[in-house]
Amino acid sequence: MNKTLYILTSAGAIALALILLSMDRQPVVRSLPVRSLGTRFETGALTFQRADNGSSFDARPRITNINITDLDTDGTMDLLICDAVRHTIWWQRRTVDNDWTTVPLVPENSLPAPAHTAVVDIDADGDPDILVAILRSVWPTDSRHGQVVALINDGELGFEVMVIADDLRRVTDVQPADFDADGDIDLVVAEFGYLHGRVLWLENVGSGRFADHELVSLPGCIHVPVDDYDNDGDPDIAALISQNDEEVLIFENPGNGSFQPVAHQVWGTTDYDLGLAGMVTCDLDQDGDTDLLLSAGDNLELAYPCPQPDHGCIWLENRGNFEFESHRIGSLGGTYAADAADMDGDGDTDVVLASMFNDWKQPDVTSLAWLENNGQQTFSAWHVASGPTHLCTVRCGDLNGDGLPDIVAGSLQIYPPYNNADGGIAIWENQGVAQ
Amino acid sequence: MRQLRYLVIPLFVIELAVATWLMFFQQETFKLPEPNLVGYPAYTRAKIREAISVVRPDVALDWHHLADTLFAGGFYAEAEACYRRASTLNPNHPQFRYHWAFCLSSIGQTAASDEQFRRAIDLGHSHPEACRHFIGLNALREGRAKDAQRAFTSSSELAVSRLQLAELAIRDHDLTHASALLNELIKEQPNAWRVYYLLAVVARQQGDTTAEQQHFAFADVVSEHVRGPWHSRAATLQKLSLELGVEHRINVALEQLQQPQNIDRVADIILAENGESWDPLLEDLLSNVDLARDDRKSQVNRLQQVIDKDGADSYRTARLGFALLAQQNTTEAELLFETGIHLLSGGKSQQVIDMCGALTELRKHAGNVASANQIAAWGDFLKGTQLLEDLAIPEAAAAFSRSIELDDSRARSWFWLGRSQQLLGNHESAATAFAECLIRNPHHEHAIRNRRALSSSTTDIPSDPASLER
Repeated sequence: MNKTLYILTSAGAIALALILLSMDRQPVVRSLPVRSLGTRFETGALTFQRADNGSSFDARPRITNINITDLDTDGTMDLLICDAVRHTIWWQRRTVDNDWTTVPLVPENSLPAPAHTAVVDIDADGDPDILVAILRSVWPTDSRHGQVVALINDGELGFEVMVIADDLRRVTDVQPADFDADGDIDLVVAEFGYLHGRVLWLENVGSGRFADHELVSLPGCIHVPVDDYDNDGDPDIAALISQNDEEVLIFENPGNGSFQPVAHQVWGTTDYDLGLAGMVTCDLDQDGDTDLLLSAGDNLELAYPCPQPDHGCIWLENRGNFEFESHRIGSLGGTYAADAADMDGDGDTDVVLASMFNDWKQPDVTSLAWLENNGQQTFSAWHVASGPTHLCTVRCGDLNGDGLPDIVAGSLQIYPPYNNADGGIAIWENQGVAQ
Repeated sequence: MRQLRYLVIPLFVIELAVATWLMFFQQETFKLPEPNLVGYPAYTRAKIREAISVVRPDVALDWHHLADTLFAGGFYAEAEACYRRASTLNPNHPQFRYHWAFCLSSIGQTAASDEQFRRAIDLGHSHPEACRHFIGLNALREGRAKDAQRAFTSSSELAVSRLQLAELAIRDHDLTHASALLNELIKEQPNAWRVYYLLAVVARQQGDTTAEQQHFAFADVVSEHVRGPWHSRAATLQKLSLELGVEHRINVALEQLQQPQNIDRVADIILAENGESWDPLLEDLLSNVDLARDDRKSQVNRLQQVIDKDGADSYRTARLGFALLAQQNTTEAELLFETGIHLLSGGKSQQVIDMCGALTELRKHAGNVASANQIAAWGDFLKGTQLLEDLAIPEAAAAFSRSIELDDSRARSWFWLGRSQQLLGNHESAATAFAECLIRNPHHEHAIRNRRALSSSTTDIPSDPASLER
């Protein structure tokens, strides 16, 4: 009996001791599991060298577009840079000493928030002029203060501003073509607007005057690349519609500019949040027709943009007769621009992507990537750079004359964080495959 | 004694079990998130750190408040983790689930979002229809149109769900159903641009070009959204976001500047805020401190620096121009006003109108009446467009008329006068104005179209539409 009591008393004492001991123990502190929203890639076989192009910005750059062209026809490629801080177009070209010089084509504050350029001889005098889409405000507004202007070349690369169309909402793109086959240059205009917008073509009626023809009335048109999408010999118009509709329309030209009132909707999605941001033409599968590359990554619905899993690049493969098959070829949060070139010199067409809204809070996420084509239009994504961040525009071209396509991108810094936002315009020279 | 033993043994067994459980169970808690605040304004950084510092790790509501703050500051991943923690600590709170689901949807985690919206409904959320609407939106994002349709049908008491159903019906070429939904909607929300736009699309697909034009014309002048649960939640977060932003700081400081005794304190706050970085918004605010101290030289220098470093816009040129004008520096003020009027940027039409007024006076004073009239005409034109955007149509028409009296050479002034008269139902005046427009620009497509419509006794916009009531 005593033995039993002894055992029970001991057990009670042990239990109490254990309880007292456990009261002194600190809780385990764990890190809160946080999802990673940013996109980052490994570095691929190609090496890129960041070139010093002498561009500097005192504050936050707002580069809206970069165009590669040989403006002075000296055999080397120049850059036309749309600057929404200085409100001008910068002409940047390489000197014989391999330096870069940069001059404004027109005085600062002449072109309020230029959004896009296209080089064409609009006045048919034998020298290249420059068409400029005037956005006027980077921020959303429906005010009718957008314009289409031409910088008229005096033959010696002096430029004068000529207003071609005004009373438009924010204009994001203007492209030239002879739509009515009458021998002069007509224009197609993306009037992005905000809640209201349009796509229209401007018929050249001579003496620098244009008659406007509305193709469709809807907001959010970003780019209007012109090409012969149906291979019938005349220029058609593709229109990338963002905002509410997230679709690609093609306006078929019967050859005389009398576009049909209903366009071909060659692609569309119910994903209202996809965030289409840009569209360029290319022949990605090299089958002789014109395909389209879409970049998706706009995300301005909330106070701060957020990269989404469905952001990236979509290839619309032209299957003829206005049938396009869509292929998702790359994922990169906040993708805003894409361009195509044979980056690795293997004979197929690769793709370069620029991100404006990756998760910049993470220092090592990718701002610039290239997608390597395996020859069968299957792509592997590789990291090129983490900065500058906020890249809004990207183009590929041989900028140093070594036969390899280089990359130039521009930064539009309108949202924090500005923690890796070095430089507004960055050039990466393609060094080829690493030895 | 035996009875005592029967009582004591189970008691000690329980004690031993409890002690063993306490020894092996380790209480778990979570570290508060440490978002990377580099590159954010000092004020935002401080506000977020403050929000983190007040969280009690075991209190669900604290985690939830922190989640809201982080979400509003753009720290979505950290916000999602905090919403998750709040729902773990208090798993039966439907609103916690709802907000967590919204956050998951915002970062593209649609399947997880759906799960939490469903859980919110199960827990008795006060707005199950909102949860179902979001489930529909998530389905749209994934391209599951049929699922979306089912979800929107189940939340069709919401106008915004019916709008989505109309969009889906158009995609399915079910124009009759779409038209019926839209025509009902327009009765409820007569200024909703998207409804008119979709009605125009339906009319186009039905080949009814007159109705198409009519609906597009309405869509072109009204600007309201059909609001739903997404807008409600976004508005709450937007308000929180503004409170985290430097602009909020500036507004608070501006209010404090009204009291002269606060000037030095405000200056200290702003300088501390600026830190090592240079921020054009804060420099602009500091120029107000300069003005309050009557240090006009410093005010001008600071405003000039803002333009030199970060570029000009109409707001900045107006600020500097009027500061220079106060110093009687009319030459430089005039140049700035010219630049600001040309730029017409920064989203502040009123400042451009003010600059037009000041420049008009300067030109009149210099005896340049022709130039003064041109600038005044431009100011009136801008005033007219601003009034038209606000749907103050009679006032807009008057402003366009004043503009034309001063300078009748612009086609666009005549067009917008015609448009205003048309909206007011003054068809004869409208037709005259369109004709004048076409004299100056024979290729003005809208003037051609509207004039044609008026001459055939129909209008592309019905006169005196109910939807345009102010």
